[in-house]
Amino acid sequence: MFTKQMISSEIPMLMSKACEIFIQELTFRAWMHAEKNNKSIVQPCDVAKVIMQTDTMNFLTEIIPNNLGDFSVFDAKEENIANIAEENEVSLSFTAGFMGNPMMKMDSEENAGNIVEGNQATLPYTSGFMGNPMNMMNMDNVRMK
Amino acid sequence: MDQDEQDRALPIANVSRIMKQILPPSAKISKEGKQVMQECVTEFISFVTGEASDKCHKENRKTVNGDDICWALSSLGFDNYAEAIGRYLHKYRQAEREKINHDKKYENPHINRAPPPPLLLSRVTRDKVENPPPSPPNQSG
Repeated sequence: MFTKQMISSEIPMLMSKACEIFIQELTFRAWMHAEKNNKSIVQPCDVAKVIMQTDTMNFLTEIIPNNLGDFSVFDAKEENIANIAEENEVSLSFTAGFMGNPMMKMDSEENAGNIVEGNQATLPYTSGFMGNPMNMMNMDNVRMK
Repeated sequence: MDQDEQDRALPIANVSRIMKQILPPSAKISKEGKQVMQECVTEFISFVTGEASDKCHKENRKTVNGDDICWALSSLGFDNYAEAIGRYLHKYRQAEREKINHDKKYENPHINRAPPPPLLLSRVTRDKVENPPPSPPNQSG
């Protein structure tokens, strides 16, 4: 039998911040997926695709509805591998790099040329997000009341 | 998600606001998209806190603290979250310490407290205190 546990006063504050980062990351990835398919509205199928394609999001596979397209985990992984082979290497480093390290600066000089070569529509916005997403990751500016 | 589950989830308006923050103004989110995100984030909370709780249970501790959450995030593959949350936790604890020290200083009058200044009365007030005006005579008649 599992004993009841307590939580310290800092847990709600920490979890709310973690949830905020999680929502923003999943939303941004879903939007990237929607935009790739020339859609302006983020729909559940976009979220589902992101969940299937991202290893750390695999714990969510059970809760996404079954009617969000006839694709299995295997199909989604296959599609992801095909995309890596087909797409511009630069654009992938921007989109797939977020899970790896969101704190990294993507707007450095060495990437400036790559941004011009890549997809003009999405990459400039993405690079800004990767560098400093709304100061989300910049904890130096945090003021506690 | 039925009504009972909806009550246990995060408020959809707050989830929607956070989603809109990160997207450009031209982007739109469907109602179903918001609901799926609401379910996802509810599951995320259970996933992370469950892992942290298991760790505490194995170590025979009754209280889950911030370090356990950071450890859980890291062990579940959210290393980037753990780094950001770790810094956030450090700032929070620093602010809490400062707040406690500030409160203690004002609770205990002997700590770093200058003696109160002497009572300074203006010349007019001092004259009134030292030489009170004569009381008016009783006019009975």
